[in-house]
Amino acid sequence: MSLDAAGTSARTTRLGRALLRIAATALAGGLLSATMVRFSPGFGLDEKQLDARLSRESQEAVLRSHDQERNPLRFYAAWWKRVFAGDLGFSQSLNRPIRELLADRAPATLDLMLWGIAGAWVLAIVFSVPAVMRRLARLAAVSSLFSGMTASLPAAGIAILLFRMGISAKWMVALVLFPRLYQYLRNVLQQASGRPHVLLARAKGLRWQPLLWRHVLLPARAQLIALVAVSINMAFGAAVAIEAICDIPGLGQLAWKAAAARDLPVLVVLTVMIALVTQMSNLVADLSTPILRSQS
Amino acid sequence: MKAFLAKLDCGAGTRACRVETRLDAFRGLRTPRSKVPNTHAPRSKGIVRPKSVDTSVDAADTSVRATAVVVLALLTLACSAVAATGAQPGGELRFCLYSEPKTFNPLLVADTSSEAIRYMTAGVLIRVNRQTQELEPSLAVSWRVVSQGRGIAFKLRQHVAFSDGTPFSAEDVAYTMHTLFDPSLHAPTADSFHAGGAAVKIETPAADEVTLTFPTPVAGIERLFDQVGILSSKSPRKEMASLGPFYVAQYKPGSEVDLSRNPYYWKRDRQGLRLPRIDAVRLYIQQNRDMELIRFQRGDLNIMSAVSPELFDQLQARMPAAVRDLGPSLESEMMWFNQSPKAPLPAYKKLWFQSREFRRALSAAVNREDLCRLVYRGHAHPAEGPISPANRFWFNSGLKPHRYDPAEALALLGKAGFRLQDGQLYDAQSHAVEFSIVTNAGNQAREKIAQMIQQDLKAIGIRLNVVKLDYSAIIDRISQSLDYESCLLGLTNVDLDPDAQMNVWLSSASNHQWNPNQASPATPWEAEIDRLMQAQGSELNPARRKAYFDKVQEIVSQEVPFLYLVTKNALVAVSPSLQNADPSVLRPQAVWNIEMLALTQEVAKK
Amino acid sequence: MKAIRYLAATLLLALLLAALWPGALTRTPYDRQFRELPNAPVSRQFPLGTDELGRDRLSRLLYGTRVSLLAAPAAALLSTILAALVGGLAGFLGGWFDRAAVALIDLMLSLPWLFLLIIVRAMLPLNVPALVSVLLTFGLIGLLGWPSAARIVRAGCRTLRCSDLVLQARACGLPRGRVLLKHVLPNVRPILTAQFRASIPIYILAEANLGLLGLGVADPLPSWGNLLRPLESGLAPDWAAWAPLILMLVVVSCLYLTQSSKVVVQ
Repeated sequence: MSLDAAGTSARTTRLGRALLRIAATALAGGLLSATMVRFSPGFGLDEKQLDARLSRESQEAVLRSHDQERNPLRFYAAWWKRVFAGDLGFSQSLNRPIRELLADRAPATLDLMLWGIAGAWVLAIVFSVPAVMRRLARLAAVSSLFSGMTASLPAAGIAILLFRMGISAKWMVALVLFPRLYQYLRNVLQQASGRPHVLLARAKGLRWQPLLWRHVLLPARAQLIALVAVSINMAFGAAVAIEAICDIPGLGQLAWKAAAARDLPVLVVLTVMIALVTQMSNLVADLSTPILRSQS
Repeated sequence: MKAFLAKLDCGAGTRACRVETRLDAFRGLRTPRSKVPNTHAPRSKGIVRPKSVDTSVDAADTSVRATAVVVLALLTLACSAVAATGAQPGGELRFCLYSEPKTFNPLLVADTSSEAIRYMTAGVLIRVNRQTQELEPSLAVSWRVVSQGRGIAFKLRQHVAFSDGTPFSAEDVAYTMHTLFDPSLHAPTADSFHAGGAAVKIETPAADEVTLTFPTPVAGIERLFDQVGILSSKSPRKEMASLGPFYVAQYKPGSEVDLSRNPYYWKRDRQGLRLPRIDAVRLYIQQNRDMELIRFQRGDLNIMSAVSPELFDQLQARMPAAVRDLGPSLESEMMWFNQSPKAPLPAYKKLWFQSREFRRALSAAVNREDLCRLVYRGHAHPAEGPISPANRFWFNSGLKPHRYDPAEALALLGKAGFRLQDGQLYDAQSHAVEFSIVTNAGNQAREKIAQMIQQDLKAIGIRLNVVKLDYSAIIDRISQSLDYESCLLGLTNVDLDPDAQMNVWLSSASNHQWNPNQASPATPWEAEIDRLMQAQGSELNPARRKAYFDKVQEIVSQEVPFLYLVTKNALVAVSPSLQNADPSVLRPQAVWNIEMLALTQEVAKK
Repeated sequence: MKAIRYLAATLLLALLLAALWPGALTRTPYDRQFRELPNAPVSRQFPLGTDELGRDRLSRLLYGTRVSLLAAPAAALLSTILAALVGGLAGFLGGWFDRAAVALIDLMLSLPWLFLLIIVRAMLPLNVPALVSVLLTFGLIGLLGWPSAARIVRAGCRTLRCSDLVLQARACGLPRGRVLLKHVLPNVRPILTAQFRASIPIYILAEANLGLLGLGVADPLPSWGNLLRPLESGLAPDWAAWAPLILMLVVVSCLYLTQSSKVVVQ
């Protein structure tokens, strides 16, 4: 009993510390991106600057509108204060509150991610389970080749190919995710199915289907949960990139537009969000499996 | 006569890439967040206002996606649940905006998309006919310029109402002008009047009369009112109440803007029937032009504006009846050298750029015909000066074309002390001639132009480094840090009158790109341009103003502060189902006569 | 599988040779514009036709391959060295340095670099010859690519630090630096080699992605990135225009195939 309690409290402390680290990383990431944007060429300027109709006073007014953002530290502190009051800030380049922008665009990104993750998992399972469980060397080779091929195309290249075939962007995310997921999944399965008792069962002539659930997937659940967490992270990265490239009105496109317009508040919000998602999914992976944790 | 608008544009926009995909694949799944409630105008007039059906576009897309669905049918689950028949509601005109509109307030418009929406929704006192380029009465039935060009008196149209039924009166015009000339507004439309901070006197002597008086004469004042959308002073809908043929019924950010027919629109056709003829306009926000082309070919869209030469040729092969090359537009491409003494460049490079012979030589070394032929597939013309031939009144037909002549270029360079040695050009102090040109990343036409200029200059021994930057970085370099050597950008003349180019030509102005914000003119020819521009600005006689500005164009052609490269043709595509279409080179090209446009029976019934 | 691996290696070697000596296959300079022959079809003079500006596609492809195939390993080397430094020291030293390094790695991994890169590009100097732009682009990619590798190196070093051999070495009184150089480094070398080889294809792809976004290697020097750009537009290009994509697919597949699957996983 007492041992258990001690274990739980140790785990809680570890979790607490990890959460603290995540918060610190997100905080620092936001500040870093704010500083980078602030000191990048083009900060505080606007396309309006080149509008010959504008008078000198109006040009100066455009320049002045970014005065609050000139000191990144002060801006960042003020921004967090407002965040706690429930206000994410205002995007000058898109002329709308950031909260509205996120609410409008998050569904597209989520949709892309969900379909991408589902597609990639289905593909990875279809390719890896029979190859590992039935030990089909040829299928394994073909799967490796296919995953290698998809891994070898740039995301933008995949986008071009699929667009020309008339295929939706969701599959692009799936194809970007698939090779990595496939490799992980195959390794997890191989490890699980290589255990002595599974080998013995196979040697005794048991079919692979009943083994799969009870002796392979169930014992590997921790790794599989970790894999789901990792795939969320990967899907987010892929979706954001593909949106930016493919003109889908999601968060990635928003980030691209914000970066092009040096929209400080939007970029800070997105950086903090991306940092949180990345770190949280890493944490889930770390907590659920010691194997993946060894890499952290 | 006034109001030209010179605006440097970034072409394909600030986005750096246009790889294509299915933007609309998500449209049906997103919650519409309309800022503008749908129940806008009273429904008592018996006008059918079709409600937009969200999934209609997805349905059509799904058919193309079918191949993917077959291959991966097991995996898609119900992703194509929206599959329907692709039916179009009756009388709906559809086309694309290429960027998100930044505002629906007609007075704050600064971007192209908002400008297009303003044209279709806002009522103006005077309209510039996009085909004849003449002024036409709109909400003002007549007007006259008073107080030696310092003022204008309007006689307003009576029995006109806003889209929500609120009656229109002189009070609304006065309210609009008060809002417009509020010094804290900083809108380009207001600044075009050059009224400065000084008060504009606004009087309403009668319910249908308004008089505006400015502190100084405003050249070409009438034309400026084409940009001033009239607001309602009383309507609870504020700036969303419109006097134009349509009103904004719904806005789904990132996806579309829906306009509905204004039942109170004042204009009638010859038979006395109320205009507009079309019930609704659906504007898709879509940056991807290839997707637009596919949808146009499918019949989803009725109009494509500012088509790229590649897509135009592709479409011409498939739908020859739909495409129209309208000839030179108001858009051109140009490059210039940084002549500012404040620029952080080596002194010898500043000497090159400040040398007239150097600039003229480089202008002669660029093969403009090849640019038109290879980059624009023949849909462009070599540019001669700041005013395109599309601008009928202000174009100076006397300007000599810039001939491509490398030999003359070398002769001019020789005169300025440069010498060619082993294929490399050196200046008088034996510096190898090498410089960079910045242009915006993502604009493929401009990138190709830069590469062609690179080869042209290599032929006379000059090494040119092409640098692609994002648009914000370019603005910073050309307007703030001045840390650049030469720049390649586009010039869009939205309006016709050169008075709005004041901030480009005056040596003291911030948009005097080659050497901005000068305390006093750096060269005699810039001083002369200053004088001529001031003179045309205070002159009321159009012929004399034209003479002044012709002289400006001649000086610019001689001194080459800007190397005008090509004038792009206006390329549009109009589906055969659209009747009365008469596209113009001026924006908004195919929809300038939107109230007259009609869809053929079959399409409307669908 | 072995046969496939050999085949891939041979193909890769042949391509590398062709890219190193493009003169053997084509005599046309990659930047020469035959302006009278834009979009020319496949012919004897132009085995892959010409592009919109009349440049020989084959020549551009070969030179582009050279750029991508030589610069990517250099960038991979840079990031591996950085990863070894940060990850190795963090794993071996532990303590505050380790914590700081982990924080830095986490921070680097959670920034949206794709978007920040356009800002980084805007900060670089303007007047650089095309060749320098190659170095800048790949240098940048290398500089940003180290954190994920550093994570793995650190994990490896940490395991080693508690290993018997290191404990014994330290117990014998060997100074720390010597332990690191003589005992730890040789043992993490397989991880480093694996990281190096795994980064090459990733960096080739990264440059191509940047090229598609209009950033990256400067004109007129070709790279796979800017060769892919014409494919973006809606024109249906002839098959020869797809050559860069196909070649890229083949090369990167070969790179993956020549590695054992464990490397890919890492």
